[in-house]
Amino acid sequence: MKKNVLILLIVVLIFMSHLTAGVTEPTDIKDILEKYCIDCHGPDKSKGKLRVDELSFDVGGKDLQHWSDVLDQINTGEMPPPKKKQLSDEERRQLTDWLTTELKLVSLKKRKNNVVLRRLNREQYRNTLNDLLSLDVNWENKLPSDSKSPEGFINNGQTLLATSLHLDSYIKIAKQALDLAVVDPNNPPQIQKFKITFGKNILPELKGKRKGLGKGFGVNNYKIEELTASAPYKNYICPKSFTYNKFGSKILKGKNREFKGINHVYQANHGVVLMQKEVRRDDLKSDGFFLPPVHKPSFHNIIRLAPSPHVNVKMRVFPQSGRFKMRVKAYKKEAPNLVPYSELSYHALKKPKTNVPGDIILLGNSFVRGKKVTKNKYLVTEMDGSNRDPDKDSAEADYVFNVKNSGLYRVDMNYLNIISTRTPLTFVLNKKDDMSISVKHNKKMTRLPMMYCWLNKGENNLKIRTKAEIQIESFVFIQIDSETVESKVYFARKKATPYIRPFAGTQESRTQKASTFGEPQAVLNSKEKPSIYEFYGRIEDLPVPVGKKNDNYEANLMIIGVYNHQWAHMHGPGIVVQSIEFEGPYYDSWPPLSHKKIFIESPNSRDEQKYSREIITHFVNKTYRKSVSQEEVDSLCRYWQESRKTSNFYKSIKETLAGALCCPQFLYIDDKGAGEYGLANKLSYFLWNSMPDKELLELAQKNLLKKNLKPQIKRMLQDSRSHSFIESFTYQWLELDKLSLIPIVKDGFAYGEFLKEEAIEETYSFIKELVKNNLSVSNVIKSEFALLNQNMAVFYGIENVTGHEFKKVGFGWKYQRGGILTHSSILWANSSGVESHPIKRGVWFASRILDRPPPPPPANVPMIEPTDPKFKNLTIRKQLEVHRDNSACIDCHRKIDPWGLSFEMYDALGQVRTSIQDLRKYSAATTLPDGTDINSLNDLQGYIEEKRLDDVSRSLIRHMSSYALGRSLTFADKIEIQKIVDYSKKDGHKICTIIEQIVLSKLFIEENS
Amino acid sequence: MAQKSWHFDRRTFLKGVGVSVALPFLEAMGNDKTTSQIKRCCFFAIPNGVSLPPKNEVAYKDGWHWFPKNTGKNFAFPKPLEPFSDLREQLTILGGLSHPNSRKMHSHLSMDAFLTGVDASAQSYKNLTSVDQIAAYHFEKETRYRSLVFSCDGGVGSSGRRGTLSYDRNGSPIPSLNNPKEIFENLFTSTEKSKDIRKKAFSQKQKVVDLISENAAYMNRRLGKVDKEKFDEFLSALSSLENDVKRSQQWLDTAIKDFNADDIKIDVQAKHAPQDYYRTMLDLIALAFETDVTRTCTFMLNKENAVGIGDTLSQIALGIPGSHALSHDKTEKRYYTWGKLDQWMSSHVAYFLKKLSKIQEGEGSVLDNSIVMYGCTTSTSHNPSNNPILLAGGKNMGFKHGRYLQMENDPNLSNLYVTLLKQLKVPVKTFNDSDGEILELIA
Repeated sequence: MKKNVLILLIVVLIFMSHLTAGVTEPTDIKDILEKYCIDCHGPDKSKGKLRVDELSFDVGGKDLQHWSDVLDQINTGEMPPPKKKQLSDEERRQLTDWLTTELKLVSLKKRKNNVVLRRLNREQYRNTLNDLLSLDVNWENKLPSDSKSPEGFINNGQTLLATSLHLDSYIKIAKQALDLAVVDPNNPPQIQKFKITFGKNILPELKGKRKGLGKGFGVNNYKIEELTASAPYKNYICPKSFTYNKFGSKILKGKNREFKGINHVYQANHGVVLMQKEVRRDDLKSDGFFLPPVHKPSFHNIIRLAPSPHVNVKMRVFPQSGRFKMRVKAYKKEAPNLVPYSELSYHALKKPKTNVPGDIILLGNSFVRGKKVTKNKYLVTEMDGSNRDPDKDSAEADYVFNVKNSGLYRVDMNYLNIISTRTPLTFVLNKKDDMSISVKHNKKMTRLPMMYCWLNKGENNLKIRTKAEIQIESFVFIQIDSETVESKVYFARKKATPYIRPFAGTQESRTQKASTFGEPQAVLNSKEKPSIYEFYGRIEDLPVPVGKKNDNYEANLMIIGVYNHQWAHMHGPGIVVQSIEFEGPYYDSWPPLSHKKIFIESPNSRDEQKYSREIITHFVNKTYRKSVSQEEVDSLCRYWQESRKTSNFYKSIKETLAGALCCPQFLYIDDKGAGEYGLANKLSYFLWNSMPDKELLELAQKNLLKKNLKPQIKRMLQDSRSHSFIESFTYQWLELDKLSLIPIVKDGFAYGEFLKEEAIEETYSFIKELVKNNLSVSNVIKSEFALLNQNMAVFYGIENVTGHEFKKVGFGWKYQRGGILTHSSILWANSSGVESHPIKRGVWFASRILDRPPPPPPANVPMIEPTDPKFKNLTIRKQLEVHRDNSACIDCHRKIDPWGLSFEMYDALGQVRTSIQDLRKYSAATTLPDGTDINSLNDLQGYIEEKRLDDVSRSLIRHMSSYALGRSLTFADKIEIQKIVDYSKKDGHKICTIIEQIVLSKLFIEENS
Repeated sequence: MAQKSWHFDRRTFLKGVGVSVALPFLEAMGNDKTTSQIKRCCFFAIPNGVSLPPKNEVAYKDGWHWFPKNTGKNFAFPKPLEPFSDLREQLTILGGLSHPNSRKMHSHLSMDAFLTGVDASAQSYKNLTSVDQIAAYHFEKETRYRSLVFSCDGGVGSSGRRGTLSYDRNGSPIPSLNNPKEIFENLFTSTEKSKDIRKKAFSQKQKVVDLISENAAYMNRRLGKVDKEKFDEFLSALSSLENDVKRSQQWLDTAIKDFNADDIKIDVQAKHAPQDYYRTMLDLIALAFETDVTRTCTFMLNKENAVGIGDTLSQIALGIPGSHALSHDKTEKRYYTWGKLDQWMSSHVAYFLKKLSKIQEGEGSVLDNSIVMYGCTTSTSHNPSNNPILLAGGKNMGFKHGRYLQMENDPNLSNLYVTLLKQLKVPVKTFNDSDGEILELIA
């Protein structure tokens, strides 16, 4: 923190009452400082807590950082402040020349010994272990979290600690990892394999026999088949008899009640949580289960169920470890031609109150369902005048009407009275599409917009059915112009692609605990040609109830299921799931690749002594990522000898290799390792966030790596392993971790955690795009393109983007999107979750993008109790103004607030504010620290591009260097950093060039000697 | 961290001392008569201040000020402390204390210093041993586990925003645990397996530890001076792990007291059910005290500066923001909201105290043999003085309760720790920068 404090505190200098022996005092410099600085930073006042008379003229001594800050402040013109006396050009030159020379000398002396041994952080540990053993487990969840460095990075040797808890975890994980990687090849596993086919009354003989669990559908609606595992695997014989004492919260009569049969092993069910305005449609079809887009897309909601709606299979018997494979047969169902008003209303421009010529009007005043005559008696009048019992039957109306022009229509309802809303109104359009909508009486509005629908020219049919007590005057159909946003959104919704996504977890007696696995897959084929979608999961990574004792019929079941991940259009296209197949444990081959990579081919494979030594040597050379010493191999071989006494060959090898995985040679990154091995490791943990591959190690072995750095960097950045670097660096540099701490307010909005996930993915994709095409850093500030998928595009109100994958979309500034400053991930992470937060956004921008972190508030700040009683009701902008007017706060806040205020036209989640109230309430107009007036984020972007691009580039370079080196930068690194900045500027701030220059700099290369 | 001939030390210790020393303690432990002499301590901390409306605010008049209006025996529980009303005679409310170092530094650093009193203002500062660990080192030979260190986030956090309250004898942060299920399994279920299996597992672990130390020695030889210093941390962790293994082996023959954990919701997740989460963690501490597997515990209920999950929990549970957001809130109702948050946090601690008071031990309850401190690192969010502190239990150790003591002239919080340690019969004279004791607490 100290560095941060100093950078901003600033400025300086000196008159000295104490001179360090041997340091001569440059009188001319002293004079300048006395003339311009001492007033604010001397014995009378010491702004920023800095007493220049207490600084030493030994520039490389205790006040090195202060001197360095002085130079920065003078160079950037921040000091002296605008209203104070300014240095003449000659004086400025004199001061900066002297300081620059002094600091250079110090820098050359200092740049040694600030590099410290660093252990693998959680991500590096996971990647390395997985690369090494050909596994894909999220080991990091089993380790304590890593500390952040002052710069915000979690790969800093100084801040990464090793504790006994770490070691204990390493020992456990190593054993678990080897258990997964190594098998007994002569003993292929037993495989559990089954298939569930869905369909309404697919097994008519079971109709009415027994309901499934909970609110699920009956056993006649799905078919269970046990499938045979293919050779060489053995078939798992599934137990089919179980005893329990409890069923949910009920205790069963008679001890140890027995449940027998396949229907108690596997149970199909749906998960549909009814939301306020949502009504479940008829989801069980004759040929499968219908899944409209998920409308509560979160695992973290209060009700604790997997995303709704979904279809799932509960498994009483399931594998206890390893991978499994899920095959889902499904097809796409087009989006309905009806959509509730609420879905497009965000984009609706006006709400006409009276009918205009051309509107289609269906009179409904005869459509009165019921009239209360006595307390419990209703008189029901149908259109034909007949009466019926309101408790049993719905009231119905059936309209046939002519339409002149095909097109999108909005349907408004004029009503006289709504007495009760026990059930919603159901609309059926042309006997095909249906939609149910709840209505509520509103004294002020007797005309309610209900829905949008597509009507074809000619005869159309609308059926309305309800049990609600409602008195309707008429329905009015208003044609919507095809150029309106709501019309465009309607069509975007029709064109959207549904995505199928699996999840797995635990079914508790009332709740579920689940996580997704694998990437969502597009469902494109229609009913005529259903496709099979394959997903792979890992028991270890999912909240599956492994090894649990259980006395409750309903609890601790494994649950697998799928839902429709296209969450942006709530009434978008659906998916019909026909069957789900499960196979586990699943192996890619037998013995698996992970096993074969350890038990290498060898002529000595029959001689245990020789073979074990070969295996161990081969393994630790990779594991320790260097040329292993004889003593290191010997110690492991001795360990194996011991182990072999009590275990079989495979097990003893397993134990030995697990031991190697707990040794510091594996756990630490040996940057300074012998020869070029250190460099290979350093490079690989920078650009891959994982271990060096064979090619890098071979080059290192031949001492050819240094000579081939450029082509190697290029190769590494093209390799998909570089994604881990880009994601990890981006996440830490831009502080995306803050997003996970933003609470999702209970009744806030429907997107939930999935929006967070995809918002972060957008930012990753953007930076990947920059690296892929070696684009300029200026794109970070402003770009002519964005990387979007259909969910994010809809969230931003951008048309014509389909698919779950993030694609490059070029559109200029039309939607006020471009550059990471407009990313929801950034704007949301720096909000309060409910409101935008100019201070958070300002601090973020200053520290991450400009690398000018404001100092933390000073110690002992008293609570500011505003004197103005109206303060509490002011907008944040006005509150900030009051705050800034306080002289104690102004120095820092004038450097924070303006940045944040320029984002004010983006709300908490990062959506652009468009409503008239918002436009009145919020404004991005502000004055930047250097006096420039701006009115929008676009102005800020222009200003940065024109005047501060070098700062942005320097910020990226400094942050990335700190990440690459795994340490904090110090003053001593300044010259090397400046060289990279200069080079980058000449090259147009291209991002790959920056990465390359960091590696080629003395900082990176010379430290491993 | 003098670990130069560490490798040999370890061997010598193993052969010479280990097993023979263990037995007398075990015998002592098996003896029920000793329960009345058991002394425990437990520390809870919250960050970012509490509701302290100025006297002219309506919220003050409405009783939402954390500190009571009257001092001494006649105090009335203010609303934020209402959950403690039933425990009046078991607790003392303390005002005025703070760490002199904390008063000088940026307030959000004060959690780092809460149980140590360190000056954390320098970027690369080194912490001191925390008060709970001083007690833990003293008790360690008598308990199965040295101490419990809990938080909502787990790990150690980052320097300046630590995620743990405890620091070992080198001043290194001790990683906190936050997953009830793992904690339960580590502490209690290992005993379900047969003794033979456990014995084998421990000896296997010991072998791995030997292998690691052998290879660590090879590695250490190659390191330069700077790296060697860093690597000491690894060696020290290894030695601590080895002690744990050894301790487990020593305790192999002693069964954990019978216990019933049916009511503990070990599967709970903080972000799903914050209240259940807090209570489950507290249930685990109570269970650990009841079964005497450890005698010291710390639990950071929330991290400073809203950098942890803790600040989101009240939002999920009650729909009100966390304490950091509240400290920056300027709306009219904020002291009511803040007071409600304080009340909620108080309710967890009160739940814990009541639970301890219901567990019989000797003549009294577990609470009578446990001193529990609950406090906030600052008074208002950016003001690390006048720490709100509540002290409960420990009747058998001589603590006198039923009062609100407001102390003048900023007495050193470390003085309180001296008093606590002395009553725990830990032989200390001072604690870090302490300059006295708080004798008013003692009967």
